[in-house]
Amino acid sequence: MSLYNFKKIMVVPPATSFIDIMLSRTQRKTPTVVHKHYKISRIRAFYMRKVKYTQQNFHDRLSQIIQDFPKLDDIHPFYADLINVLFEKDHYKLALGQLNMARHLIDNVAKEYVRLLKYGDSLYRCKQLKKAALGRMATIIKRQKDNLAYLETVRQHLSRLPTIDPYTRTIILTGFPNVGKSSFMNKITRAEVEVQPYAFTTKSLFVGHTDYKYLRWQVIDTPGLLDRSLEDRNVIEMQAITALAHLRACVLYIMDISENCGHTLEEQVHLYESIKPLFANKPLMIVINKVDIIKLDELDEARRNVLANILNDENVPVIQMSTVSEEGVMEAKTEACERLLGFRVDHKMKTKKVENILNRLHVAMPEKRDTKERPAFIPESVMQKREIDAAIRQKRKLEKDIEEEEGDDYILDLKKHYVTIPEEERYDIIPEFLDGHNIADYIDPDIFEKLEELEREEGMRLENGFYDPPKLNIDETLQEIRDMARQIRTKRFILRDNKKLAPKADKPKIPRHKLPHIRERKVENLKNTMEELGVDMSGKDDANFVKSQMSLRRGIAPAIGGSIQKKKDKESSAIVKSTGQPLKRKAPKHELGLSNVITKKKAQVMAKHDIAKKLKKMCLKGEADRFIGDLKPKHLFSGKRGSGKTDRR
Amino acid sequence: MPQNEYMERHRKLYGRRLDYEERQRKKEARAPKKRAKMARELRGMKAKLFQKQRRNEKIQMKRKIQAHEEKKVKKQAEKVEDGALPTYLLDRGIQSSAKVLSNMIKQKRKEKTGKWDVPIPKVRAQSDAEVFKVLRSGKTKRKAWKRMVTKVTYVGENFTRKPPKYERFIRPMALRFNKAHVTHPELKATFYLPIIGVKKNPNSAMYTSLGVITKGTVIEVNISELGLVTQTGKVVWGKYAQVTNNPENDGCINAILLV
Amino acid sequence: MALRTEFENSSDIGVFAILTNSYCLTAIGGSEAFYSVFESEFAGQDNNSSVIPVVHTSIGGCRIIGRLAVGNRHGLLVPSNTTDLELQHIRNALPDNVQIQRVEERLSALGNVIACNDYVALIHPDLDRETENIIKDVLKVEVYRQTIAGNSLVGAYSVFNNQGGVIHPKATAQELDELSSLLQIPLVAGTVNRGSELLAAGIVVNDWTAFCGITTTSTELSVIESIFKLNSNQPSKITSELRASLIESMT
Repeated sequence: MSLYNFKKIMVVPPATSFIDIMLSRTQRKTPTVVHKHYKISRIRAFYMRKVKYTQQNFHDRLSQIIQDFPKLDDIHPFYADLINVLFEKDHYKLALGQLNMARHLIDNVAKEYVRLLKYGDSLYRCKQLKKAALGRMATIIKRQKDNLAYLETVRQHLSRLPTIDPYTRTIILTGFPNVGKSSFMNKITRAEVEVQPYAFTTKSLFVGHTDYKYLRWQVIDTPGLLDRSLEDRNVIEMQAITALAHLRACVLYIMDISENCGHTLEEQVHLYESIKPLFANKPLMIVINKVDIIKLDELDEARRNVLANILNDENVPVIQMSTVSEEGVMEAKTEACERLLGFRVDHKMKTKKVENILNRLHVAMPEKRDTKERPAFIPESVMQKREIDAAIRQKRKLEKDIEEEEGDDYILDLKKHYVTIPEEERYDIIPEFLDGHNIADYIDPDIFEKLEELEREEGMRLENGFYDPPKLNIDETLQEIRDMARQIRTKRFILRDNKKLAPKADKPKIPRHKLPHIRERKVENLKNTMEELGVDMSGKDDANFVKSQMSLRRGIAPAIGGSIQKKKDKESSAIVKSTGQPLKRKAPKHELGLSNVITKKKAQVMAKHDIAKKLKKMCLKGEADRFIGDLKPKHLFSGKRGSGKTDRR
Repeated sequence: MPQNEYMERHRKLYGRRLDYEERQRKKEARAPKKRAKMARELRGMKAKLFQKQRRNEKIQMKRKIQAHEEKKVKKQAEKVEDGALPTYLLDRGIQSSAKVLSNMIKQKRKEKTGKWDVPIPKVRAQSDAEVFKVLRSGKTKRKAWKRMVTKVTYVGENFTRKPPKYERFIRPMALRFNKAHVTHPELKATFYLPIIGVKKNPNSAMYTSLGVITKGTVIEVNISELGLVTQTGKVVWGKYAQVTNNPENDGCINAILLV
Repeated sequence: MALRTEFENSSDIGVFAILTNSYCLTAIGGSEAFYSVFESEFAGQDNNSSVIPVVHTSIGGCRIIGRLAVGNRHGLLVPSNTTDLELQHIRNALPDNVQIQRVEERLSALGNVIACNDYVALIHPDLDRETENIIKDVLKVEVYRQTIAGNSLVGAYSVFNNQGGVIHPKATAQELDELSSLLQIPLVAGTVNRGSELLAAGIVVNDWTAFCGITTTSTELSVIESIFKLNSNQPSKITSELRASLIESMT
């Protein structure tokens, strides 16, 4: 909720433990075993890692500290001033600046030593360099001892600053010491500020909260102010001045009319006049305290004259109260809240924000649209109950109490409250299904009559032609168009269905040899089709429609006719089993495209020449020699690669 | 300026717990036992730190005790006797003054000779193998005439490298230093001064010409910052100093001014 | 009186309860704390009776009954996924003059699409005509198809009883006036649960009691109390007495 919370700043360790933390961390988090027979690059990396890791840790922790502390230029001027008053802005800035410097120095040391480590030629030398590097980092931090200690105290005190929201509704109490500021605070809030009968009991700002008009109000109790110039004021008073100067709040200037506080009325009035510039543009009130001792009316003439100036100011209301007898305390609070609220609302009404919420301030009242009454329905018993005093009403045993009583044995009893069902029937078990029927469907006792009636109604409607399509008079051309349209539609549907049925190219196909064997061509089918076409197929039962299988034995001449042919090679005489036709094969590759023997010969000669040429050129043993002399020619694999091609360099 | 001292406030309002004093006393009484247990049981780094701290504490304690005891011992005020010394004592006094005189002369002589004495007269010899690293060169890395200096060097400002093909000695940038921490032995103060040149490296003349800085090397530093003046009134700006540490191990050059 | 309460660490109590002038339904939770808030509030004069029945129930096995079902003094509408057993339980537990009806509707979160009191109902513009008829018959109300501040989930962004209502905070003054004369009750634009605009999730209300989520601020609570006429205040208090606090807390 609050914007300013300084409680989350990390602890700033003192210099010695800072160093201990960092070095032991390096020890824990980096490898610790190294031997001198390791490769030198490994040894170097080992120590470089240690140096870098330590530097990183120092750097991170210092950055964390620098970042955590609030930057005075970025925070609300109230807090900036408060910090200035309490901790000296210059000292604060200097401390943070020096830490920043130390961080840079550590970074530089690490950089320098890592560079030196690159040339370390032995384990001993690397180790010495590491030691020197860590030592120098530790020295740098040791020099920051005072700054770290200072920042730690600042942190502790910052975290204990009261959480004041500088933007919210605030009431500030101010006045001389011992006039009753803190007692008033204790009366209207629950802050429990210490009250003692001596001056400067309150040494710092205190915050309390109070409620008024559904809103939360922040009340700030300030240390008392003495009547002296700004330069002479001490730190305690300056806190009050800071709050008064920077918070846009309602200021209550509290006066002690009885002069019990040790300061005369003249002094109090004088202080009021001297710090008045701080109250400019703020709602201001004067509260006269301790009227239980002496009333305003009972004052003697001289003192009245002193107060006259204040009492006559119309812009500043004067309220009398006594924190002892508690008279006027609530009036003072109410008046202060009202004035501040009015002041803030006036300011806000001038801004644009209010336009966005105007609709939410509007209550829409209904306009009468008919004569119907729409009264609220509140049962009699409620009205009666309201009348009974809550104290008389006996404590009812709630479900929660039963649950608590029974503990783990508690089971929620849903049927307990079925008031309409008599007690003995309440817990009857009702089956969900009976004779194959869902009980819930028959919950209505006269469901059958209703169904019958519905059906009758439906029958009547059917008879009366309720559902018949209305008849239209259609002339000839329109009829023709409709017929055409219907044809087109059916055709389109057929096409669409066919398309759905047709095998798709992108669908996976079942290989033919895995398809179930279906013999489509049958003698019967043939007969049927022929008969359908009007061919008389009777008496052809014996007809042999099946082609006889060829003899598969090669080299034997067919039974019918012809001389025995010259035996060719096996290939060319092969016969396809199923068809009985001679097997046809593609020509071999080297003969493809060669129509006759002459060209074939010519091609052979040419090939021979070409091969010989190649062999000669590349010093190969034969056609099948695939020897490559130099797998990685030097000129292709050495030197820098440019930005261009990589094959020629 | 303290803010909201809640602990003090609580104490003021509700007081300390009733057995506070008792607990405090017990805690104090147990402290030595606890410390002894720590000393017994700690191991490793923590043990080292603990022992060091404890040792310091003990020294402080002893000093304090001693100081107290010295206070207690009443110093017997030396009574100066009135009148002349007895004759047998007169001789002694003369003798002692003569001794003082001779001592003074001895001291002076010593100082005179000491002026040209260096603080570290003996230097460990550094072999070439230690100072130079052989770099292989050539297409097949067969040649081995190049050397890299592995010690800290000083390279003058206007030095330009030879072309790499001909450069025999390489002095890496990372190992070039041009400032040194110089201690003035009489002022007992240390300054971070720029180096002007390497006067002498006792190991070898070559190291001197290369500007190699090892322990015992005499370097010339620019002390114009110190504002020393010669007898004639001129500002001295160059002076010699001897290196007292191993710069290649420490990453910095420490030297002592030769006066 | 408006009470702050929560259901198992959630301040969206309107999701887990339905409250009307004649009955109250609550979800079955891990403990009885939530139920007992209602139980004690509606306790009768003698030990065991209560002013209106407070009933545990689930709908379709879910505990988000406040968003699934909708009802008023005359009836209760439950979505189609309600099981027969649950329906039977609700029938047994509620008084006989409350009509209970299961609705076959595509938009089955009836609590989100229907907002009603005992006389008028606002419904989602896309609701079925048949459902509209059922609403008319069962709940005995006049039905209007409406949107609120551009949102068609009227049940989620508005809450009203017979005496007043709160609707989505972005509704314009003109829209408020229109809706107010439709519903014949005073209306105000507001929030609940520290600025949440899901009003129906934060408030359950009948003519004499209201319950709000536990995170509701006191300004929100005072607006709710005065618009629903739960105490002697009139709705006009919002524009007069509360005006300053409202401006202060909202900007």
